[in-house]
Amino acid sequence: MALPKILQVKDATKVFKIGGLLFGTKLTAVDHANLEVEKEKVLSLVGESGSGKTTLSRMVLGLLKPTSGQILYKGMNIAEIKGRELMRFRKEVQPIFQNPFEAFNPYKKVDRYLLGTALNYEMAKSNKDARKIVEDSLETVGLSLNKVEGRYPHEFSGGELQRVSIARALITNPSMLVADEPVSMVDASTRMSILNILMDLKKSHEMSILYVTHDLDTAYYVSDEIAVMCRGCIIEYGNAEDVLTDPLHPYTKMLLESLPHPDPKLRWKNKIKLAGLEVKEYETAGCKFSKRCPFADEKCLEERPPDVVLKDKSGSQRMVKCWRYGA
Amino acid sequence: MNNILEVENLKAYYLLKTVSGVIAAKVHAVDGVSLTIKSGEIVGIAGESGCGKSTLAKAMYGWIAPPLQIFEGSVFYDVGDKKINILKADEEGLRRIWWNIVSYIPQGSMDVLNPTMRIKDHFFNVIKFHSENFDKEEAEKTVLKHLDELGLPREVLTSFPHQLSGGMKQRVVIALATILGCNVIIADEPTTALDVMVQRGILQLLTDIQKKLNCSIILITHDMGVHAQITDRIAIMYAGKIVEMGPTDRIFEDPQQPYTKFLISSLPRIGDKSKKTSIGGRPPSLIKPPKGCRFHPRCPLATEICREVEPPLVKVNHEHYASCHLLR
Repeated sequence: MALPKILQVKDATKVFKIGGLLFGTKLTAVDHANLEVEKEKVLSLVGESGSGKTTLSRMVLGLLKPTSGQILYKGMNIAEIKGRELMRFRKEVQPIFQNPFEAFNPYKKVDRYLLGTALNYEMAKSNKDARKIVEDSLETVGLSLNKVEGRYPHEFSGGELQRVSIARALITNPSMLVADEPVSMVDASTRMSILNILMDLKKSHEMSILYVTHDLDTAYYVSDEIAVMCRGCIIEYGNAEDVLTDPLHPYTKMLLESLPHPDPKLRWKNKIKLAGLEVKEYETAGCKFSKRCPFADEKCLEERPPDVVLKDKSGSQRMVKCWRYGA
Repeated sequence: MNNILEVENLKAYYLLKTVSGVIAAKVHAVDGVSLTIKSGEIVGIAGESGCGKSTLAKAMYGWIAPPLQIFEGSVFYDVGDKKINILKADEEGLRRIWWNIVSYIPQGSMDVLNPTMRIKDHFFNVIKFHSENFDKEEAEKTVLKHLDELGLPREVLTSFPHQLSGGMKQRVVIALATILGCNVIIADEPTTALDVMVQRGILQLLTDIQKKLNCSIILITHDMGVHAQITDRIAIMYAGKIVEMGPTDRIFEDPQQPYTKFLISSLPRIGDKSKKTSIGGRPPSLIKPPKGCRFHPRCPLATEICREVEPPLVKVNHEHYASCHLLR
């Protein structure tokens, strides 16, 4: 039995205009993306910086409208939600941002955010109720209200403040979290505790999570499914275990190879070719990776590769956008 | 191999003063660190944020500005015929040592480029300030040759910093730091804000430069993966002290200090689905560091002696040192 789909991204495209009143160029930040997130699953969106993963996550949050295509949350088109429905959507889909010190106003005590969220979203009628809800959600992340109360953001360590921002997101009892690089600002020694919280939430709160990162190691640790993005296109999409242990697209292979393995025996032997100017790669007519791909030929440069769907050993489907695997 | 850099019992504290100038608190950021760097080796310094690794870098570079103050210790550079203590050098002395003998790539160095100056002028400024005679044509030739050798496109010279991507800016800063052919490069978190591919490119560049100039690199980062990839030796810092130091493969294979063990075992790896845990608690305040071993409040193995007596750095193996009471 298939689990219900929480989020469906259908052919979503976002085009930004850059520079110039008359002669500006266009940049397709997200190019016909198709994704699905099921209930209680974690989908990771990975890729190097400038691959469009944050733009896609902002469209999922409803902060940007897609130029074409649709993003459906429980069957509703996010771009068209209004009024009470919008309030409900905001309650159910909560963001967690990269840098908690930028997410919180430094002049405001953090408990005001927590209580404010509970009251503004009508989760609680009175201050007393609000305190109870806040206490519960702080407990989920291993903190308590009297530890947090009366303190400003700078009085927390990065890891603690990130846990506070997860607690804030939990107040409205959401069914989906959109976490954009939630651990890249956090110290390596406390990074795992944040990821463990996210994984526990998946089970205990029946949460779906869209986890955006460039770190494949942590993506492997938390995710059920993974989508790899390169210059706006999703170029590989499938079960996380399968994709990361047996990558098919040359871009995914190169990303995996470039991970600094914490093992001095597995040092890099060969050298890589670095990306040129970002905008140029976006403008490539064919495969966006073709300029750096070791296997690229004429066809890759000229024609857009098809979405090839294959069957993995584990039985799940895998999409690869590459000429080497079909047609 | 001779020692190019010798740090001895270095104590660098930040003095926090009240408005009237009374010392309110002393932050023991670097508290008795000894370290020697041989010529031609890459030494990594690891540790979580706030453990004093950036302060150590500043002190080794001789860049001491209030509230930072040196309380004890010395930093000797080997300049061929004699040894110079950079902490005692005057302005003229520093001008000769900086960039010619030691270069510093500070944290977030992509932002050090002046937004109103072309990259070319950044290079000229460095050459003008740090060498005896300056000839513009000669300088341009040197810069072009240097860029070609490092594999950077020549077009960057006429660009302004905002026209370059983060990774390219970082590569420009590294090229700037090495234009005068120094003996030691101190790189503080050179790849932290960059993604994996660019990170690999930067590390590739650093090792290329190391081979070309046969210089030493001190690489400061909290990313153990980066250390495993390019360093020869690693020093692990915790709360202002070096708690373990040794050859990279020994540290990863057989870590001795409980803190180092945690750092290495908590790393997520592809193909490993086991649950990883973090170290509980948070690093101690450096204003009033805990008595005894500084790691004892978070250490699961701590005993009575750890709370009272500070463990010395003892030799475990050839070149491998660690400070823990359990080792004795």
